[in-house]
Amino acid sequence: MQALSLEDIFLTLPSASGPVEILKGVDFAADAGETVAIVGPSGSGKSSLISVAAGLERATSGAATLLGTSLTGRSEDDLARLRRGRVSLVFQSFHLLPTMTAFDNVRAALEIAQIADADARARSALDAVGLSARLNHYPGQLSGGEQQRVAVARALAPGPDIIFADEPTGDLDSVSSAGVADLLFGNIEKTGATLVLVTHDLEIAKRADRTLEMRDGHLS
Amino acid sequence: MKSLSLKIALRELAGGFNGFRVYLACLCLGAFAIAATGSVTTSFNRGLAAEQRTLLGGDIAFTVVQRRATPDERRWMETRGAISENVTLNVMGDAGGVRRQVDLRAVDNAHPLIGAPELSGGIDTLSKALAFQDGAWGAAVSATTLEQFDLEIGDKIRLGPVDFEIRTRLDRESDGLGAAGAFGPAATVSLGALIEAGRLTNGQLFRASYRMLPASASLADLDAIAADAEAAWSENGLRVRRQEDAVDGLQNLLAMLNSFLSVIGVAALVAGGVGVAQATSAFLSTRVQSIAAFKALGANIGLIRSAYALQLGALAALGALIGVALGAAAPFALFAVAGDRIPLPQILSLYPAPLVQAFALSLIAAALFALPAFGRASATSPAALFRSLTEVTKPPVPRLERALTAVAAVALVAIAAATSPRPLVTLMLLGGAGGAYLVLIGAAWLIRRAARHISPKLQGLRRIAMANLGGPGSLAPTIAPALGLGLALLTLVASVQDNLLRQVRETAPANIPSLVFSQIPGDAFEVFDEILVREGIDITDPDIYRRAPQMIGRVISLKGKPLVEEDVAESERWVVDGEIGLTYIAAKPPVAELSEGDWWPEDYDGPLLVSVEHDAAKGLGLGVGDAIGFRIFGREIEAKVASLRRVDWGGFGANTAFILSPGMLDAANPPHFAVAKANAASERAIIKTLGEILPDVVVFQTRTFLAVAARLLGNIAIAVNAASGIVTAAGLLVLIGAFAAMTHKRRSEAALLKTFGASKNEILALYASEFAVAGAAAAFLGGVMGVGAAYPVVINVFEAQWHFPWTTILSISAIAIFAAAIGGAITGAGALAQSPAQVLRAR
Repeated sequence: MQALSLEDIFLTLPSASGPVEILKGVDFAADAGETVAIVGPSGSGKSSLISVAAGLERATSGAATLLGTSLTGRSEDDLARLRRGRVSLVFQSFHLLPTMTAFDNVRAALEIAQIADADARARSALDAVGLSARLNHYPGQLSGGEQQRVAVARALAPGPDIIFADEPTGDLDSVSSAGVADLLFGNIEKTGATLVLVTHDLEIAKRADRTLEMRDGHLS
Repeated sequence: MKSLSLKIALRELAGGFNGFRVYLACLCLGAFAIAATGSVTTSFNRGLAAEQRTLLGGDIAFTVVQRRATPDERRWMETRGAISENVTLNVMGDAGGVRRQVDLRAVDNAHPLIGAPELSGGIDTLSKALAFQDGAWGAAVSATTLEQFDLEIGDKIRLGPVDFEIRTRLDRESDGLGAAGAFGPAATVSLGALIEAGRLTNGQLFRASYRMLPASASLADLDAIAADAEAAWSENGLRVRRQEDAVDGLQNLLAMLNSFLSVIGVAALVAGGVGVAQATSAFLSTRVQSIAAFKALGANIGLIRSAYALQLGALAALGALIGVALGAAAPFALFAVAGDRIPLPQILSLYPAPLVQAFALSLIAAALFALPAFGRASATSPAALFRSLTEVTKPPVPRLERALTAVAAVALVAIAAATSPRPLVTLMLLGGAGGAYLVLIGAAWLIRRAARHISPKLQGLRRIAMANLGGPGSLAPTIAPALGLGLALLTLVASVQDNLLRQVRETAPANIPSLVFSQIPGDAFEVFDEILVREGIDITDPDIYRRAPQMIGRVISLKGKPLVEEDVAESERWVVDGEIGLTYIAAKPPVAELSEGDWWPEDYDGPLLVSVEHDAAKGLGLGVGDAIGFRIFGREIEAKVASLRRVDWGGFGANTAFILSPGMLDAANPPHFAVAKANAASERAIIKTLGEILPDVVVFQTRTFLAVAARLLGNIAIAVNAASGIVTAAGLLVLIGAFAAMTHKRRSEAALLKTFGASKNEILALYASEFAVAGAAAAFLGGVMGVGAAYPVVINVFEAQWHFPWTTILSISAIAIFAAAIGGAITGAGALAQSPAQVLRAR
């Protein structure tokens, strides 16, 4: 069963110097439980591919299907509801809520997804990433590696069907990078979720079931 | 190094004022309020000073009460200059079945010595209009007289004992401020008419004034005339009035108003100061990388300080200058828009003093609020500057900036007080505003603590709202002091206004008499009582009817020594600065509450005793057993204080400052005054019957006076509310700045929440509720402080009954909460405007 399917996806975005074509007819599919790494140079369209696939950005043309639901023509709120508890994202720059503690960052995502027992699950997720001693720290009080581990815990806690990770180790040192990758791949093994991972790190990419290369808006 | 810092400052300023709109607007608003207040009151003061001779009606004037000048006094005046005589009194007007009290002025042919009255609709010369012609005396009456008696020019009206023909409409007196008859019907007639009718005999209630134009009006000559008059005639009760006395009361009122409004200006600077601090902090956070780079390149802290101080200082000066320029234009704009409705004379000009004061105070306020953020930024180490700064990692404010902040705070207070016409009042008001500001800052800290405590107990977006309020970057430290201060001031003014209007509209009509009678002949009060009984008044019930002798006297000595007005407490000087109503009563009035001493026996016939109102006695330094001297009916008499008495000035009771013992004064057989409560039908019947049987009795209907008082109060309230609104406007400006800054911050939060599956409406509700909670906290705190400040003002200053102004407070709170929620929703809408992918990519 396919967790994600993109057919002939084009994405054009406005810019100061005129419209820029980011994705140029991308076809891509990921089966349930599959891990796929996407590599490629900066500006090739890797992050945009994830945005379209997760329903954060509307494709200019083409058909996208996520977890059996077509994304075409759906409102932003419909797409948000589709993501609840089933789709998680991990970003290069963490994107934690600065006004909330590590524990509350994880718990908020669970509560918005209306998942029961949010407190215990949040605690357990942070324990799993080795941050049980940092539950009440604000993002500003955590190192970069710790912040990304909170972000990973937040992504994994709902038990999603698919995880999109956009350069999750891009801002981390090698030791922290390996730790974050272990957390992601280790969880996938246990839960059978799909992972779509954008990375520059070829060592991490090698751990995926397959690796695709993005170049100038084309995926190969 | 200095030129380098200037170069850096200029290069950075060339980038524009982005992010400084609120900084400029806050300083501009405060500077405008102070400059406008100072300029407008100065133009009034100068106007009054220029017009004081006209307002006095001569170079110098002399007044006596209950009598006209004696032939000797008159001769003495005439040898020194040209004289014009004016008599003022209250009489009943009677025309077409309408009887009302009229303020009557009787003038001789020399009136006015200076200027000319404004007449319209008939004869345009006052002396011709008032002359005896075709068998009738003429009268010039105000528009209110024509309106209330439903008369036209050419109609007849009886004023006191004389029938007059209305020959012209009196629009403005030569020596008056504003329209004639602003407080009720007024008329000017010939002095000859009243003399001929025998209305101006000694002992009756009237005031005679003699305006003089001496041959030489040099200051020395006027001083000499005043000194001669004091020496020759003060024993007779003749009072000298100088030109400055004509405007003294108004100038005192303007000084008080100026003090109050200037403090509002400073409060606007303080409320806007939060915006200044916020903008400075936001600006310097965008310069963190530059400062780090400068330091890494070898720049010392002095260069960094001077470069950014120059930028912030230049922007502060710009904001203040714009405000000062607008403030300087305020008097011109005010008089262009509402000049014909303002009764005070003014001289429009640019007055430098208030403009310099406003500029200086604005710059100091900018320093006060910008220095802590400035100090932190300059103190941050180059290494730390390359990391993102959050509140928890902010360095402390360096000692230099802390010291300078303290100096700025002291300077702000010192300059505001030193330049105020009432330094003590200004200091007290500033102390109140400063205390409120500190309480609000403390309350913001508590709100954050509470939100942090509550948030774990909530779920989902509600918890995010509370966590935002309790976490770093919380809205509470901005919204509580900025909006709270404005709301406190608005609540204070609105609560006082609400209570005073209630006093005038509800409490007073229920408690005070509906009719006040004066000049009841001393030999006809039994007839008077019979008339009231006939019209259904129960004259035996002291809650319905009271009558007592009516005298006018003047305090001349205290404890056996001549009175020195300046020694009397300012709040109680009203009992000694002119003639005051006196009475004598045998039995203690039921509502008289003695605080010290005893009432005299009902049949007391010994040496004169007096019961003094408690506060007046304290102001005069009098206690039981002390002596107080009066001049009554031209005689000097001394009384011993028998008791002190508390008076409910708004009630139906013994509300005069002095009540004398009977016996000794009975022989004078003075007229009586009376008060009665009656319904509207009885009022009409009593006034009509008195017109037929005792026409000289003057009846005052409090109903009409209360309506005028309510209207005047409403007008004053509009002006004061508008001024208080400036502080709220400053608070709102700060909020707008906070909203704008937060839209940027909240954009990524909203995008992230969308990735979790939150809908647009949920996110909008989140921000609206977060802001509404902060707004509610500010409204609650502002409300509590406003009411807390209003209570003593209503009870102690206005001595009115306190009524909790629920409607006013709930309205202000509801508007504040609604505005904050709308602000939150706007912030949310701004944050949601971009797709989550765009926002997250940008980061």
